[in-house]
Amino acid sequence: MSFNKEASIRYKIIDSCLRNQRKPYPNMDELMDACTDQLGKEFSISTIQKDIKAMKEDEALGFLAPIKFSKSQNGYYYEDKDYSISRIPLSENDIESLLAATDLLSTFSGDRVSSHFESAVDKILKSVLEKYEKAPGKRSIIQLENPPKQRGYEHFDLFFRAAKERRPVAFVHFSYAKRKFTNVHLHVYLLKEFQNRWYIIGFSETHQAIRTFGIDRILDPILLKQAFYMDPKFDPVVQFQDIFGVFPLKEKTEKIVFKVDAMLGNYMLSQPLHDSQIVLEYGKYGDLLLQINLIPSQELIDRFCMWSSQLQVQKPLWIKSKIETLQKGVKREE
Amino acid sequence: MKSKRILYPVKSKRAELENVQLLRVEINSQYTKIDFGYTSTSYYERGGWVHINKKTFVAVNGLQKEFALLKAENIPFAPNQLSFKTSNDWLFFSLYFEAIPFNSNSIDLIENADDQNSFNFYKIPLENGIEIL
Repeated sequence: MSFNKEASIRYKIIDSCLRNQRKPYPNMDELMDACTDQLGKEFSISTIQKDIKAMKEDEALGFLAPIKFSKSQNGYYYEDKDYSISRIPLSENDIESLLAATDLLSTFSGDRVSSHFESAVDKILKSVLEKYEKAPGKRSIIQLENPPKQRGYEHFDLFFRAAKERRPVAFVHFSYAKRKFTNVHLHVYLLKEFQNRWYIIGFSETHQAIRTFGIDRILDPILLKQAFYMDPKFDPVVQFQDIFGVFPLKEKTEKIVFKVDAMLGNYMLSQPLHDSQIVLEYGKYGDLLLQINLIPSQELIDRFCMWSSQLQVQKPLWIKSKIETLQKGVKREE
Repeated sequence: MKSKRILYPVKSKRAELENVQLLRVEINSQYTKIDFGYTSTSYYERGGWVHINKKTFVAVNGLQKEFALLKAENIPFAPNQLSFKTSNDWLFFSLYFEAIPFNSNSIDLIENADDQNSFNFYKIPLENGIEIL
């Protein structure tokens, strides 16, 4: 049976009628009326009969509701008085899946999420594991990255609240590049994670523009009692679809052409750097000439520098020379 | 009911000590909090060191009273020192003073008026205050 949205609402209505202790043993007319009242349209006897049959017998639906008809009361009832379709027991498969999910979820506790979320994650883990304890000695078979805690992460909850409740925030920002402190007044729109680092994005009154701030460079944020400003032009999807990272170096996309050796080529083919990545030329020995079309970012430059022994940027020239300058700087400091 | 707290963003640098910035002043009925940013420099070996004199005070321009330092955060009281490890280090620290009147227009912060290397800031304007939630 197809489990459409309207049918699922009817099941809930029927379930609620059967559990109504003030009006027990609803008959067919009363069930039809309840559905009509709540969904605003008429239902036939056969529809409600099919619903009851599905609730009782459809294994795919999984309710297997103990619905009986009482001749003496001329109405339907649950044989098990504590039954409700919202309290259906889990199947073995459901439990296995749930335990696997708790493995995944457990990686989001500890240093990976803030105390705000950790408490919720912890509650879920405890309640699931208490009820469906893992077999003794069963090892975890999924392991996600668990990076060391980022400085400033203690402010995550405050920024989450600022974005959710639309409260402007004042904080001091320290720029690593300029070695300068700045007072920032921000209307927070988005908290974004990129490569295990968190960033806060919003409209900065200080800069009169949408700006991104690494949470590690944010000092003493304070919620303000002030009207919130939402920039109508801000769209989190559009903002980040054409960029690798969070800090754009240009406003528009550029075609970036680079050559990679055969080893790195394997990785680039198995996981492209960006959706726009295309192969311009296959080299004889597996080396590749690739092109991406995106807004150049600091993170992209950093990534290119990291791969510099296996990657050479050909275009645009400004990226090529920026990478060369950065590498010369590192050598000088050595 | 929560007591009122007002935050004043400030852009104040000492001409003699360019690497120290007075950033913000918070006024409330309990205390006055002043935040600073400090960047270590190559002028000193491995960035040098900092500390704050316990006798540092705030003076409200137009009033005779001195408002005493109550607490320091992220910076030790003299003679203790916080030594930087490199000339690339930076420090955000806060000083808490006795509460000044809400209607103060400008303040001085004096660590040692006779010493040019001390943290002395004069005529810090308290303008465009924002109420804290």
